[in-house]
Amino acid sequence: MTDRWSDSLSLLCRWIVGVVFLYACIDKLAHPVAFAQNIANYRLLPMPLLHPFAWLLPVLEAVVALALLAGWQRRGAGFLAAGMSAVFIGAIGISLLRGLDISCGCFQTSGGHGVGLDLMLRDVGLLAASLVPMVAPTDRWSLDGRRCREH
Amino acid sequence: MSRLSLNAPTVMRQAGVLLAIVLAASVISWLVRPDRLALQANAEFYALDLPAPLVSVDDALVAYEEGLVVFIDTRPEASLDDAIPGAFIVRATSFADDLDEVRDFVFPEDPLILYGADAPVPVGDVAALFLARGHAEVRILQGGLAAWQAVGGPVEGEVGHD
Repeated sequence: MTDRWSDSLSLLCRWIVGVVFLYACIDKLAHPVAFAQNIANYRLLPMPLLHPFAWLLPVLEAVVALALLAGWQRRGAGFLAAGMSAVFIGAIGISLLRGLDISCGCFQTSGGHGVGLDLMLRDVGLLAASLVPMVAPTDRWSLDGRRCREH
Repeated sequence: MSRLSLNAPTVMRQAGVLLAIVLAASVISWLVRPDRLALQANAEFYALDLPAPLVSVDDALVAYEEGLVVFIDTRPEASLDDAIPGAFIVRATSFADDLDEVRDFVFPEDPLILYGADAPVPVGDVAALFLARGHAEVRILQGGLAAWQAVGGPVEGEVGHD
């Protein structure tokens, strides 16, 4: 892979994933109670973990999104974004297998899209895009890249 | 030309830095936000979709001492060594088989209290199955076995009546 390809592809994927996660965290940060209800509907987490998880996940999405957009700690941010996507894929998959008719809680805490195969496919795409900044050899237009050139 | 690079130590170190920031930001936001969530979720609040009503551990203890109810252990990993004495194991994944084994002891007119490890929602699946089989009085132990043990509810190794 040429450096130019790596720079461009990493930037593109960082920004796509960054914008998606930034958009996703806003409603969750604003409505923690509704988001906790969304998570409870998945019937996956034990009660003691519900609120800590509901409080942490939107912050994780926000931090990862900002890191990806800025290109700061891009490899770690890509890894965490991929990890979140994998968890979402798993949660949606389990819900589909169980036949749960619940809203996904992805972007809107109230109403919103029901869980379905299309959401799983979207998250697979998100996972793939997240892996790019994690493994891209160079990423010139990022805070990480700027720091590398200066030193 | 450069090649794809999966530098695992760098990935982990960077992920660690970001997670530390997430943890710090979560704690700070939890301390300063007026609409913060309680650390411990209130099961009743999330029980709106449950097919059966919740029963508090205190009420369940009274019912247990009076011998008025049949306890059902619904934990997927339900084991013989830490169940409520006299409880029967009936799990969602093997409902028909489990029910078959206890059919001589558990009747549709018996009041049932179902419990899981802690969260009430998975127990709700078993409750729905019992209700579908015509059991009229099905309740779910609030806080599950964890809450039961926290208030000193008896737990022993024997499961099932003699």
